[in-house]
Amino acid sequence: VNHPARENLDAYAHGLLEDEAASLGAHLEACASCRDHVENYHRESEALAKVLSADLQGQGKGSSRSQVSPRGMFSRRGRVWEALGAAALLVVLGLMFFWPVKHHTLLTGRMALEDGTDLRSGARLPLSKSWRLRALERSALRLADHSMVELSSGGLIELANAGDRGVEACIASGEAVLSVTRDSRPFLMRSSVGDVMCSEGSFRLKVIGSLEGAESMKGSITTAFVTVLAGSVSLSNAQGEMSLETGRSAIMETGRAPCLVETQEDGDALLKKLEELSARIARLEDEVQRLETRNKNLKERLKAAPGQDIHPFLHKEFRQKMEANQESLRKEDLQKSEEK
Amino acid sequence: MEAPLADVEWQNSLVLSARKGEPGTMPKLVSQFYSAVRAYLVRLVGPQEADDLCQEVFLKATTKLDSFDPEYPFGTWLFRIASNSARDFFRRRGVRRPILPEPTSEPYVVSPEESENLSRALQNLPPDLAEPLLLFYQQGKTHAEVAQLLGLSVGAAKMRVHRAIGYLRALLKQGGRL
Repeated sequence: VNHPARENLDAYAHGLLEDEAASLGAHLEACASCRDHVENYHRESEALAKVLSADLQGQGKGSSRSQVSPRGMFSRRGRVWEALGAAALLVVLGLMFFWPVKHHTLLTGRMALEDGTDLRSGARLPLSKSWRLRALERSALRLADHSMVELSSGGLIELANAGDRGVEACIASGEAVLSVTRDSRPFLMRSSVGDVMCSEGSFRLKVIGSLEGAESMKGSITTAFVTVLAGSVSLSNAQGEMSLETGRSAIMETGRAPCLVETQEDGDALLKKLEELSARIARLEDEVQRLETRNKNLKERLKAAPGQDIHPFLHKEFRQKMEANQESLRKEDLQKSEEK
Repeated sequence: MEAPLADVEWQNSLVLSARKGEPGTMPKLVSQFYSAVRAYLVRLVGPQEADDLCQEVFLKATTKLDSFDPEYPFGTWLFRIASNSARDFFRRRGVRRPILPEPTSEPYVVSPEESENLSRALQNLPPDLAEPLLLFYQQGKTHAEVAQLLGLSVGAAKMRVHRAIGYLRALLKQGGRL
């Protein structure tokens, strides 16, 4: 008798054979030895499913794929072990979320400290100190209270051991998504245009316009756009406060009370406009700075080389103006030295 | 073996409620899937890393809920995030997997006492083999579901599960270690 190769029996037992399945099935009906082999493969599959599905059940109740599907855990129908599983899960979740730790952990991405130190995933930052972190790429941090912060690339955030919770955050730029673990003491997220407080839930906070240069033109239109993803939050600044429920968005800006965005479409349109405006102002600001620097450099060069025509490429009128300027600067210097 | 339709509909309706921001729906979804996703990640990356990675998966799911297509089961979408997160994890860590022993077609009936060896063996398998095997045997997905989840044809999904078993047998025979 020509027995099929062991590899073929293995493939047959795993349902891989299609064309040859019929002929092999006929052989198995007549051959007890090959049937035993196939039976061994089935036993192997059942054992593997039993050991692995025990991972899901948590009560040590084993089951093979052919007996009880692990999908049973997703079933709505009541089962005793589901209740036990739910209780065990609550304990696990409770431990996971509320077990106090003394550090923040960078879970994914890459961040930099103020002194330029590069932080990779897995880096731990002691809770006892304050940290100013810039995301070099999209990064996720688990805070000491087990809340999670996901910060956009380029975003800047400060973490401090402060407040009732012992953890406070302040966003300076970029976009952050916070998932706050439940606690009677609310989590406080500060920004220069207002604060967000949340006892449990998730919210997105996007800063439009950098808060780093709040005294500049760029900073003058700084706006924070808040959207609640789950739970509720309170927004407040010197002008007023409001609470915001899941799915709602609001705007916070300097000199104005937080303001509700009525519909998501309005919010998106507004966000887009603000971003465009912010980008235009940032470009203007850069241009002004560039011109100021150029002007300063020119003045210094004129002071350093009195009497020399250092701008032969300029128009005559402009040169004359520069020379007049040079003359007035010289007079100022002379006056100052006389006063001394 | 498809999931009961009512379950999928119920899960997807929870997702839609969560999208609309109905309070309490996200925690329900998390508690429905948490232990399954965690068990999957424990076998894939080990218990030390699984908790952090599991949080990352649910954080991603929460923040990207808008991109979920309710035409498909939520579990499939969630496990795709878990698979991608595990791959990112290996990439970040620069994990280079050692050369595997020759696969064998000699069956190996693993016992519950060998769970540790099994974990070691699974972590020594490349993710493209460990993932389909876990989805099929641990999560009870069908070959078609595994295929959909990993973006493969059904034939390729079957083949990967089969290849994974061949390597797993060889590894288990040496106690899960390379």
